Amino acid sequence: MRAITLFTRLTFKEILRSRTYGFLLLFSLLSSASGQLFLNFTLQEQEKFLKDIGMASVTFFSILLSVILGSTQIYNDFENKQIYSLLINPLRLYEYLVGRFLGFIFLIALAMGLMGLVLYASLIVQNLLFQMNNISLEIDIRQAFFFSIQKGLLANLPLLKGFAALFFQSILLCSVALLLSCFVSQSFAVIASFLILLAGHLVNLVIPLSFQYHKMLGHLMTFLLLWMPNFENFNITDSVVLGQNIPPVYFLWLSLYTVLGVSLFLFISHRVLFQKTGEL
Amino acid sequence: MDFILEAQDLLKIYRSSWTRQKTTALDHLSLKVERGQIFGLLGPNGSGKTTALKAFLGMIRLNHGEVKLMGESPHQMSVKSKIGFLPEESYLYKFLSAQESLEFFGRLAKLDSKTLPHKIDTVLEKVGLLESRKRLVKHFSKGMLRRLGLAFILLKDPELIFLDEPTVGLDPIGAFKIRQMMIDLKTQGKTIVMCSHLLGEIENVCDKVAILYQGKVLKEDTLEKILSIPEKIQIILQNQSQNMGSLQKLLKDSHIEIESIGNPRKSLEKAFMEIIHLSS
Repeated sequence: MRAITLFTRLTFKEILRSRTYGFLLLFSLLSSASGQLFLNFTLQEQEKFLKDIGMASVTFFSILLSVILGSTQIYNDFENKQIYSLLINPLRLYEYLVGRFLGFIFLIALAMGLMGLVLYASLIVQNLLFQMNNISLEIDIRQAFFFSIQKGLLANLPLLKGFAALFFQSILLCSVALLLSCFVSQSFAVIASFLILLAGHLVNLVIPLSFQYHKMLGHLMTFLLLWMPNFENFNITDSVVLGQNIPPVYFLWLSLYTVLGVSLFLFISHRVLFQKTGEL
Repeated sequence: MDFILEAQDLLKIYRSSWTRQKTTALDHLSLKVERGQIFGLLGPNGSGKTTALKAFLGMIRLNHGEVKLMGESPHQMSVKSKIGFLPEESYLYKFLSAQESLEFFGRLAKLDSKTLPHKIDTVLEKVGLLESRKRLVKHFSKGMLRRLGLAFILLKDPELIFLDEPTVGLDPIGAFKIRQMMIDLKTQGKTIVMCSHLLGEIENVCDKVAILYQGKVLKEDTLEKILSIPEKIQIILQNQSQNMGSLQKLLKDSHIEIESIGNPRKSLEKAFMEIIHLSS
């Protein structure tokens, strides 16, 4: 456990000190708040616009971050041979792998948490500005502030469900990228991860369509796509923005699906790296 | 005899998956290293020295053969905590400072966290890096990286130390200091296995040498036996001006053929160190 914690902290420190993560985070935060630039609509339209842009930014940057983290960090440790300095110590490969992966999870959580804060702050500011500009010139500022909190934050708490689903998707995608980086170069792993993400979102569409075309094709596509993580399961952002109810049991299922998927991909990655390091 | 390292019939074949070309890096290599020795693996580039070190450390998967360190597999956790390794290239995390690196590796080696800060200061002072302990490793020169690598070894205080080309790329003073440190470690009862293609380096510090060529051990013996010429005798006179004439006459009268007469020579390194020492 000590070694796992060490690697989690190391990963956290490493990424926080890298410029790439800093720039990525900066752009993601700017992007989350960029809905503020479009304020020539009604309050409802503006709010919908902010939520759409904010959630799209969170989706895009969480995917980008998880793919970059998963496909580069462990690959670099092997490529730069740091793994030799590590494995000379009383350390099991799984401790290294789990520790690194937990570091990725914390970093994704940190980035998404900050993006979430910016999005909620934008919604509050937007409500506040709307009241100050449109309701009354003599409005009580405290009252307006509380009203903005009510409207911007509390009324939009269901957005957190979308964040949770995106978080689970990012973790699963990160484990896919990590697995791919065990076989191919990091740039190839990045590309392949995006392709798997795309294919994973098309599973629900492609299989029924191919069955409509031909039964054999349907079976073939089912066979080809069945092993692929179904990322469409995590696509609840639109429903959340539109205010549709998502039952809590769905998140239980999503978390279970993520844990199983991540465990499987990490297990395969471990076996591949095990062969690479020569550990018996 | 107490052997700390036993390698039996090691075979390592590297295979390129595309061209299917085979390269035999270790060709049925067998070695035994006694406890408390400085053992040198000597050979030209590509002779399999580094591969042999990696095989001893359990870092590569062998096609055949067995390695035992302290009577056990190199993968045993109990063995890993008793071995140290200084690779040819620095495999350190560049985003960490010297102190952070030592803290990380010290914790990884499961050293006592209470005494760790004090130990870190002690070893940094010993290798002359105390002043630079807050500097990031990426700003270190090659010599400093080498010394930091040695600091890891001193911190871990292992029984068996593997050094891969320990003085390559260092200036004569840096190389001399590292060699001095190796001799100090030997006097503390540590066993050192080092590989080098620098003949002078092996000659200066090693007790026993194995000469490798194309993955095979061509010769393995003590340095004294390898270097001595049994059919010739060297006589060193204490007071040359007084004794030279009478010795020459004595040898001539006894019909003993003299090949050459001259002053004994010191090594260039010794001369260099003396000159530097005098000037400073």
